Amino acid sequence: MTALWEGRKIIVCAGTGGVGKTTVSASIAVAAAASGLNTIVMTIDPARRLANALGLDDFGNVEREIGPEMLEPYGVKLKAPLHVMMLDVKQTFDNMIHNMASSPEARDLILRNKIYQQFSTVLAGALEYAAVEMLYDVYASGRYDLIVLDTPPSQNAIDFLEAPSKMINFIEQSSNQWFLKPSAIAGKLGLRLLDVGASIISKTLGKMAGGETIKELSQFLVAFSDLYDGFQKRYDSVRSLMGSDEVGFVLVTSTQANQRAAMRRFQNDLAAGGFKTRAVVVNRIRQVHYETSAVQSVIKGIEDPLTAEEEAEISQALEQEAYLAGQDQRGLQDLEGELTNIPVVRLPELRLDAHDLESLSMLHQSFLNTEEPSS
Amino acid sequence: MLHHKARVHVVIGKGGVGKTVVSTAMAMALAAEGQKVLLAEVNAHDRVAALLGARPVGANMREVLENLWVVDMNPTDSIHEYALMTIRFEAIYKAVFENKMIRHFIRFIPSLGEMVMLGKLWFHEQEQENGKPKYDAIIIDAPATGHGISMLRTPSSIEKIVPAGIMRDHARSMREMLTDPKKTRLHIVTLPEEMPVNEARELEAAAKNVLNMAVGTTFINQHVPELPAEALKKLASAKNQTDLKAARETLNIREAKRRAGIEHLERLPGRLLSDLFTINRIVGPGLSRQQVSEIAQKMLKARSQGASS
Repeated sequence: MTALWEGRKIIVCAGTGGVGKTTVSASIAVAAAASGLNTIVMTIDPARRLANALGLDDFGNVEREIGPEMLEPYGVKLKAPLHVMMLDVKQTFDNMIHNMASSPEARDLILRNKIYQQFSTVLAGALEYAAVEMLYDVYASGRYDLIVLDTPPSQNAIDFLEAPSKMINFIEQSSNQWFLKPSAIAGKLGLRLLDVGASIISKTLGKMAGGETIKELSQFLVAFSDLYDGFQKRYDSVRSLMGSDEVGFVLVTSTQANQRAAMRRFQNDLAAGGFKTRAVVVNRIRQVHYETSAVQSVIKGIEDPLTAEEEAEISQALEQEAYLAGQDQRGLQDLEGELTNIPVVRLPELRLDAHDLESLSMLHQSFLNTEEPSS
Repeated sequence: MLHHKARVHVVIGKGGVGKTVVSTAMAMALAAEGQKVLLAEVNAHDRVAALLGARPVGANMREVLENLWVVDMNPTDSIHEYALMTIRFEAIYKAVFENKMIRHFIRFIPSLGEMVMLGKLWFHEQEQENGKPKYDAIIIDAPATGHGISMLRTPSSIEKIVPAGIMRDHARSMREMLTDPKKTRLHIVTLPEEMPVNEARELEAAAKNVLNMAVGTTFINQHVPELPAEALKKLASAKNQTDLKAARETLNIREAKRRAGIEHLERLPGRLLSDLFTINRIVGPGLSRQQVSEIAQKMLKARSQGASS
């Protein structure tokens, strides 16, 4: 038996929204803790799905233990501690600035900047960046045998890996544009930025948004540039960690054609970036075990016959359910035909809404034996 | 459904709950009543046009059906439009907004683009033709929950950071339009499932506490009708159980899921339950224009019944 996490320190679950990524991440973590690994599952989802699934209230950036007594009623015995952490983007960002700023003055300049205060949580890639930041912190702490990361839903698997480089790019481009060199950040160079007051750009923007805003903007850019070295360093470490054998990516998908296509794109992105796809998890596969026409004729013959109306409704329901299951089976076959050398984990659609502890317990065994790619 | 005089309808909900279908059906229904309707998507790859079987519209608004104009807004084109309205000279626009640094900045702080897209809608809300509003209704197919909320709160964020001037005035006008219950309603779309209901709750709280917006109609999509209990009982007591077993299992799961769905819907805040519109689940390959138009017909019927009662 080869567990999904065998030989890995980090499992990263990626996928577009709405495929049950958070549930899959949590189930993997439950399975790992049940097999004796000290495990943490980290989620960044802004809708806080995992908190719901785990019956926990709102919490951010705190490692919380899921006591074994919570899972015991569902027949899961944890052999090692299971922790969960929900990311708070604003908090993570503020912390990062505390850690990376070259001086207390530089730090305060950013934290007090109005543009930063209003927009830091919606900066492009901020969410993704926060995920990488916390992941690396937790990894570096060495407290866990296994980290399962639930990534933010995105159209691109490596969006979140590229987040630090986006920041670096932003700073570089901003700096070049304003004739600054990232190596010569901080202090006096700020003055030059504010000098551009005479240019058509700042004149026009000033007319639209007010001169003060342009000043804030310049200050924000200068102050943010101060973080350049920090971003660069973090990017290098994260990049080499994520490409190492310690990290396995798990792509979560459903059988729907558009989700499958997205999964394929993710897989190509990962391969192109030198990252390793450990497995593809196909979630919520519907199944029926009857032949619709056969059941329909049996129903016609039962002792206490259905009214015509009842029969029509039951027939239609049977057809619909069979259609949906057939759709899933066709999707699954197509997907397996497209994949080579990557194990596929199939998860059934569960009887109940798949978001509570019982569902986690029902799914967790599927991850205990994941075949390694044959070549 | 939509029993209020608001002209701006913001349709919002979790990703994948059917916001585009609801927005499109709503637009078709209002257009069929003779209202002039503008349906705006936000950077959505022309999903409405695809649903209506029309060729893509992109950022250039077009009358796709009688009385129904569609536009798929994107930050870049909206900023262009907005800037030209304010600065009036293409040459200056080019010098400023085609500047690499500015483009970069706009991509990095998406809120600027979002505010300008809202600005476009505000402009069309104000637009007059022959002495009356050009559009009777403006429907916005908003981005999913988190992103949608941050878009809708952009005007008030901008108001806070920008000093007195054109931009702040515009931000205030947009905020005033969005927060006036006589002008704008936030319609929440959900499914009878746990997570979509959680997000509907989140949206209701955000509407009250963060956005200061009035809610309108709650749309329950993918409703699964109840199977006749009598029929299920008859199947359960039939003698030939071997052939029926698998079928009964499936029907029971379907019923259990349906009941669980209803329990979730019961967690919706009271004020979301007062104006409900339910759409049955459609099983089949993709959604056709015909099916969307059937939903629109039901909406029309609900509106005429609501008006008479």
